Amino acid sequence: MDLFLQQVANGLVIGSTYAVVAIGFALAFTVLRVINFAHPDIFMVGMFTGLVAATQYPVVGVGLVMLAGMLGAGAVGFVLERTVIAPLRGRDVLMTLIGTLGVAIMLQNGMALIAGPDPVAFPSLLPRRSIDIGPVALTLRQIANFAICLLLLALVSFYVRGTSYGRATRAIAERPDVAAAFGVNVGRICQFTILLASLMAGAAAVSVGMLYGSASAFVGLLYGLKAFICMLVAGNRYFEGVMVVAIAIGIIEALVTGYLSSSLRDAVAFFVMIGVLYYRPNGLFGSYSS
Amino acid sequence: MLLEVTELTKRFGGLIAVNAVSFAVAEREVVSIVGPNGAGKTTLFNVITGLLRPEAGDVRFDGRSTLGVAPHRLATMGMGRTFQNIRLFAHLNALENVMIARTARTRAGVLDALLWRDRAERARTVEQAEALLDWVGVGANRFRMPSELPYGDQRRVEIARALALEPRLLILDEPTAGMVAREAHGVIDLIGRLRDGGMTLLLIEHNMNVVMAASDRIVVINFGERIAEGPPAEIRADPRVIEAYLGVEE
Repeated sequence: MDLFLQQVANGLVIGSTYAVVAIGFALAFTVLRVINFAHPDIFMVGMFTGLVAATQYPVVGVGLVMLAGMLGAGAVGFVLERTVIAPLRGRDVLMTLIGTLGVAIMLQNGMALIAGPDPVAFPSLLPRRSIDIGPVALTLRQIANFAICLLLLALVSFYVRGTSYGRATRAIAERPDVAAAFGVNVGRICQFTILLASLMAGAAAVSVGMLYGSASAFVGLLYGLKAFICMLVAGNRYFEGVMVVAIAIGIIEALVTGYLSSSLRDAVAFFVMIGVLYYRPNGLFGSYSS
Repeated sequence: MLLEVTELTKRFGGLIAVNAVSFAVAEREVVSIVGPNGAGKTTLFNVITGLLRPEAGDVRFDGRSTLGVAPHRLATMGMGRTFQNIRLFAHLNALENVMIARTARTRAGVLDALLWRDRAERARTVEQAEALLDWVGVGANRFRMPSELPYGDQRRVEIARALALEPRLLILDEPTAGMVAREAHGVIDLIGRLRDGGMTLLLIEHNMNVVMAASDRIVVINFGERIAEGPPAEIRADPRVIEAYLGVEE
C-alpha cells in the first residue's frame, strides 16, 4: 500500500508536468488549428536558458532562473508565431505541421551544436531535502514542481474560463471569422495564445530540469509525444480534460514503474491511447468541432 | 450618407454576381435590399461586410472606404451584422455570446484580468450584455447554450450580440429566414423597435412582406443589377419589380 501511495504521488508530480506541455499543445491546436511540433522544443530551449541563468549567475535564485526559462521559451515562441505560424495559419493544417516540425529539428540540432548532444547537469537550486507526508516521501523539488505546474494549470483555466480574452479565445476556437465580425482581433489573440503556451512551457522546463538534475537538447521529444497523446486521449473539447488525462497518464506510468518494469513506462501512454481511441475516437471528453 | 455603395461589381469567373450596383443608406434610415433567390443579395452583402473583395466600385462607411479593411476593424468602426444561417458560438452561453462583441472595448489588459483588477469593467460588461438580452426578450435564458434555445430566440441573441458592438449600422441578413409565422412576427416587431429607437438598418430580405412595413426605402436587385429603388408604395406598384419578383412569387 505504501508503494502504491508513493507511486501515485510520484505520478502526480510528473503528470502535472505532462499536463503543462500538453495544454500548450492543446491551446495551439484548438484555437489556431495548428499542430505545433515545435512546442516541446520551446520547452527544451526554456530549460537551457534557465540552465544558463542558473550556472552563470548562481546567486539569482529559483525565481529568476524560472523567469529566464520563461523569457527564453517565450522569445522562441514569439518568433515562431510571427515567422512560421501566422503566415501559414488558416491554410491546410499540414503546412503548419511541416513548418513547425522544421523549426523543431532546427532547435534540437542547434542546441545539440551549442550544448553537445549528451545530457548536461542542471543545478538543483533547492535544498536536497525530502518531506514525509504520511507514508509518502517527496523531495522538495518534487513538491515545488507539482506546485508550479498546478499553479500554471489553474492560471490557464482561469484565463480561458474567466477573462474576456479567454472568452474570445474560445470563440475563435469555434468560428474565427464570426469572432472577427464582432470586433475580436483574431491575429492578436492567436499570437498571445502561442506566447502563453511558450511561457508556461519555459517555467515547467526549469522545474523539470531541477527535478531530474539534467538538461538535454533532445528532452523535448519524449514530452512532446506524451503531450500529443494526452490531447488525443482527452479530446480537445475541454482544456481541463487534457490536464486530467495528463496527470492520469503520469500516475499510470509511475505505477507501472513501481509494480512492473521501468522499461515499460514509456509504452504505457501508447497503450492508453490505443485503448481509448478504439472506443472513443473523439477522445474521452469529445473534440471541439464535433 | 453613413453607407455609400458605388458601382459595385463582383464576378465569379464568368458569372457577374453583382453588376455596377449603387445605393446609399443615410443615418437613422431603414433600407432594404430585396430580390429573388440568386439575385446577388448575399454576394452584395458579403462585399459590404468585407468578406469578399469587389472587382470594381467602392464601399464607403462614414466616408471611409472599407475595401481591404480587416473584418474586426469594420466591426469596431460600427458595422454590426447578423447571419442568414444563425452563427452563434455553440460552446458559449447566450450571455457570453453577447459579451464577445464587447471584447474590443475591453480596456483592461490580460494581466489586469488575471490579477482580478478589472472587476468594475467586468461587472459593467455583464450588465450591458444582460440589459441587451432583456431588451430582445431572452434575458431569462441568458445562461442557456444556443442549441437549447428556440430558433427565434437564437436570432434574438444574434441581434443582441450585434447591438453589443454599439453599431452605427446594423445589417440583418434575412432575419426571418426559416422561421414559423409566430417567430417571424416577433422578429419583425423587434426590427420595428430598433427602427423606433433610431437605429440605422440595412435589411437583406427575400420576403417582400417583411420589408414593406419596416423600410423607408427599398432597393430591388435581380440578376446582379439594381432594377428599382424607392419607397415601399412605389416599389409595390413598379411593373419591373412585379415582373421580376412578385409575379414569379405569386
